[in-house]
Amino acid sequence: MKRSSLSSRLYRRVLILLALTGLGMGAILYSVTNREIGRASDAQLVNASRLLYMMMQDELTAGVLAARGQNQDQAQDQAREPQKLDDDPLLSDEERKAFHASYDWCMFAVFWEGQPVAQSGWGAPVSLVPRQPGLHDFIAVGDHWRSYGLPGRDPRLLVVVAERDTMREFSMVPVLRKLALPLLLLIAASMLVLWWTLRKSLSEVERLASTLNARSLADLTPLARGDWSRDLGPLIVALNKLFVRLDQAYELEQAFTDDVAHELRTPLAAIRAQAQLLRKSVPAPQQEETNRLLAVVDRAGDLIDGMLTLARLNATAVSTRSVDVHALVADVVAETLIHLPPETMEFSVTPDHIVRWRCDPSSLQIALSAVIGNATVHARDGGQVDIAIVRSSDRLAITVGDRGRGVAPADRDRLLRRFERGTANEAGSGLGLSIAVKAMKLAGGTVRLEDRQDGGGLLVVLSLPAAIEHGLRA
Amino acid sequence: MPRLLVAEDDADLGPAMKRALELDGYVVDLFARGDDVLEAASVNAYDVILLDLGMPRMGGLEVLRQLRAEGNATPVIVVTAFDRTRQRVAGLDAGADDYVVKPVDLEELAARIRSQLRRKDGRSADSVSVGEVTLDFSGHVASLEGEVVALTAKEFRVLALLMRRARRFVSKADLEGELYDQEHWVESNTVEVAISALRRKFGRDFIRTARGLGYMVGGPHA
Repeated sequence: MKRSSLSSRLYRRVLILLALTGLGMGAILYSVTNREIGRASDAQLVNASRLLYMMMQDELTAGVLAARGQNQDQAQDQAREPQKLDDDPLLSDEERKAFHASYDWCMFAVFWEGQPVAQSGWGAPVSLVPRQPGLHDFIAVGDHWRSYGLPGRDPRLLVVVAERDTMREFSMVPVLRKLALPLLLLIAASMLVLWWTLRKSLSEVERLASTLNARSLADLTPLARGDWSRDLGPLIVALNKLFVRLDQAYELEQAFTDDVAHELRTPLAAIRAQAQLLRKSVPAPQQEETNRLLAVVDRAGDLIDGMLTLARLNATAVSTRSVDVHALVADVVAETLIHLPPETMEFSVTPDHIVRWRCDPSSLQIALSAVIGNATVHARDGGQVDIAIVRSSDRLAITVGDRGRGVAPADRDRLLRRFERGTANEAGSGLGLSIAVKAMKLAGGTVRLEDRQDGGGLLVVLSLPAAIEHGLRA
Repeated sequence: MPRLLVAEDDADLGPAMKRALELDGYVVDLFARGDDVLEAASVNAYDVILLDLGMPRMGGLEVLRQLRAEGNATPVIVVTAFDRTRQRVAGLDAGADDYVVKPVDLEELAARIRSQLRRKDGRSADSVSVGEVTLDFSGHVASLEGEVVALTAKEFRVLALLMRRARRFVSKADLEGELYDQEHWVESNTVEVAISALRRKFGRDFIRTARGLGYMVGGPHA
């Protein structure tokens, strides 16, 4: 699965966090504002009721209501008809107008001993208005209302002022409409600043990645802590510890294979020297036997070389860089040609100019040497090795074609494994192609055996994909 | 008669090398310990030293460094089982003149010794040898097995570039570039003509070629 870059993931997460924080802040702000508006509105209801009560003071002092109460009792006793409130003696028209000038959204009702004696003439039916002191909520004419009941000095009097809840609610829509453009600009600017800050903060990590990428295969020197920011300190310490462990493992592996090389090659060299001395001293008929002995010694030498190469590949780390593959092929062919008797084999390479590719040159060289060496052992009779470097946008292929007997399709997979030879009597250690497979695998590539299309012979295809950069980016 | 010092601690290989080299007509002293090698080299004048790197008491590299530190300029051929590039570089940097990996062919070893002896005889900072061919830049003279070979100016320049880059391919374009300084214009077959003449004079196998790579001089004991 392709993983997105660290910076974009971090960026996305910080943006989500910021968005959630913004929404949370908005919700808290909305709730606090609504509560404060409610408190302010309640205070206004209280003030309105007080104003109304003050306006009625003269009439109350004159005992209008007490007298009216008696009249009412009489009238009720007489006719049992409800008292008309139009000729309310508590509030004059001027007082009503003055009240509505200040609180035009408030309705009111005045109760004397629980009975309505004055009302605003609009709003909720007076029968639904709560007749208790203090703040209350009620429903009337399809609306939610809030009321405040102010008891008079005479406890039989209750002044109630009410308003619709819609008057108290705070709507975010107009606020958001006004703030939309500045908010959008602010969000866009914040996103840019956030991205820039993130990239700048992570540039240190990118620098670390490119420093490590630029290192050669064997460079395991510790990173200087002073060169890196304190945030990367633990990472640098961990990397340096890893370098030390790798270096120790590398040294151990080297010491072991060096010991093996010394212990195996020295007696082999002694046997070879003795055999050569023997060849000089024996008569001609026996020389053929010493030649066979020398051939066996050389094959053992090849086997040791192959085993050492395979063992070293186990402990090799790849180091990818831009490589002139044509020059690399030229070096391998030169080294092969030097050790071949003159006029044995002809080599050709196409194209005849630089071909660059990002890869690990060491493993590619080992693979190529193994394949070309294999051709010189098994297809020497063919006398011809043709090498082609084919580069496409996503792949580099190096084909090595010989003019030998080729390999039957059924035997191809087998021949890529260790100690497998075409036939039991064939020369070689049986390690060449398996070394190529292992080295190419290390470099991220593959080895394939095919038939040559232009006449007989084996075509070995070394294929390398485009190198993946192991940086911060995906 | 050239005198050789063979430093080899293996009880079978050392005597075998000594006998083979004595059969070739050299006077050979064999030592198995590094400190003995240093002592012998300070007392006797050797023509070539064959040095194993994995000796007891004092390793071959240490012996080599001390020899050079003492001003001993005897040609040294390292004969070792260690074949890593880093080890080769360390050996050559310590002052070795040649580096051979075991098991070595005795005939190849003899050729390398001859090559060192020739260099020692005509040793000049301005000469280079590949196999039996030596090129003296200061005297503008080429020789094959010690015999002077007459070369044209173009042939000399082509050979000089090939020998400076011995054991590596030199492209035709690079050879043409070498001749370009001389003639502002190079005919398309100038390089082929020079190569053909050089092969006539030094042997067909002296210069090897591969299509798409160019030309190269040098064998296993270049």
